[in-house]
Amino acid sequence: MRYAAKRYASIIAIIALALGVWLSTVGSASADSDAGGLVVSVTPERLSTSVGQPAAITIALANESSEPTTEVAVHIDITDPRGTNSVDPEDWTPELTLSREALLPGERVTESWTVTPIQGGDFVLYAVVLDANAGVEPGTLSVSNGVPVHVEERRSFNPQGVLPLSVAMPTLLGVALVWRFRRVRLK
Amino acid sequence: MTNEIPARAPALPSGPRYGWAVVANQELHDLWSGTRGLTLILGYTVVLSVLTFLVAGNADLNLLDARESIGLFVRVTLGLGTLVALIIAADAISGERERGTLEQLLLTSVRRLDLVVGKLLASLSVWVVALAVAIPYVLILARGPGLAGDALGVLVIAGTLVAVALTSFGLAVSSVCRTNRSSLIIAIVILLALAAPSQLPSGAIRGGVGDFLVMANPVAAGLKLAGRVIVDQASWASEWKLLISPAVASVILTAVAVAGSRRVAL
Repeated sequence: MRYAAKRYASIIAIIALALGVWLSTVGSASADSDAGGLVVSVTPERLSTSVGQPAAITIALANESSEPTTEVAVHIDITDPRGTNSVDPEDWTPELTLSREALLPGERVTESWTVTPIQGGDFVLYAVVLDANAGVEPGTLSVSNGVPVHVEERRSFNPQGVLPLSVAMPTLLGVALVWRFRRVRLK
Repeated sequence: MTNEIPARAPALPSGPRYGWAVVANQELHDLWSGTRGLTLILGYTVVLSVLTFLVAGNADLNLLDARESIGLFVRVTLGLGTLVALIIAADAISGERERGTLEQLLLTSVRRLDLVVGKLLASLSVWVVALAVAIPYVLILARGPGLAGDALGVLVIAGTLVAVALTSFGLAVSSVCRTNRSSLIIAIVILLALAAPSQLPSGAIRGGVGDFLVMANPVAAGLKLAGRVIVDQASWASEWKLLISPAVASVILTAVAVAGSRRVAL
């Protein structure tokens, strides 16, 4: 009886192991399929800049599969994973998405981008590459590494030298008004 | 004793030859030697100072293109300067009526036409002062991109045409409105309605009808000219059509204000 139980247990364990191996194989196969053999990466790995200071990034696409890709769209996104700042990536760069022609097997291309931060804080920038037809049919998606972006706040108390004028004009008119007001009251 | 018949009947009393100049002189004195004109211009200058600081700060941080910052400044200057002139014009006759001083004015020998023309010129002086105040701001903002000529050109040409049109409109409204409040409300609501197309997203006024509506609207056309010449760097030769409606409106509305002088009554 005890022998039979042990035997059943070992059979179940073998079946579970086999199922696990099969599922993980299926899972990894579907992940490869999702990626479509397209690897996307963003450099530099870390970015440090200040508000209003343009920063250049490079996005590399490599087709590591044996099949050519379809036409793809490269899209970048910037977010604050801690949710401290609300980020609108369109304020950082006028062009968030660009289209690329199909990549041949083994082909590697790079795209340059410039982002100009409009607010200080810590953010993450990443790129995704998707089928150009993804809006019509289910498509594949490849996601890059996340680039930590540190943006220093920058304040200018006399931007372009306008402060003296901005203060002087209303002050002069205010003094003139007070002077006129007193004269009118005296009359 | 002979009873001679006079050769000609005595002439009816007519106004002074340059009655409009007398009225304009008096109105200018009231406007600028008192505190009314200076108070409005002070408020306008404070807005310009704050705006200049903000756009220069944003341009300094590369958050706003230098051309866009000057274009924004010129559009606000044009809108606010003409608004101040419109407020003075809308108060010109209905204000006299409400304060009970219109009767004395009408009893003088000055013709009603001269009265309206004189008040129109005095109201326009507000735009001239607003323009003069804006010049240093434009010069300091436009130093880098070298757009001072275009910015001042838009303000002097388009701004003056829009100011003449709106001031005449305000005066015409003021001639017929019984109360100062109603003339101010009508004038400002119309100005806001005319400026509204410039606040709409560009996609909303695209196409033939949208372009026509902007071209036919003197305020929107003036504001669009500022955007095209300063921000988009379009040439004056390609954008001169945007000056048609401000020019036509200034002529027609001045004629309406002058013709409306007959309706100036208690």
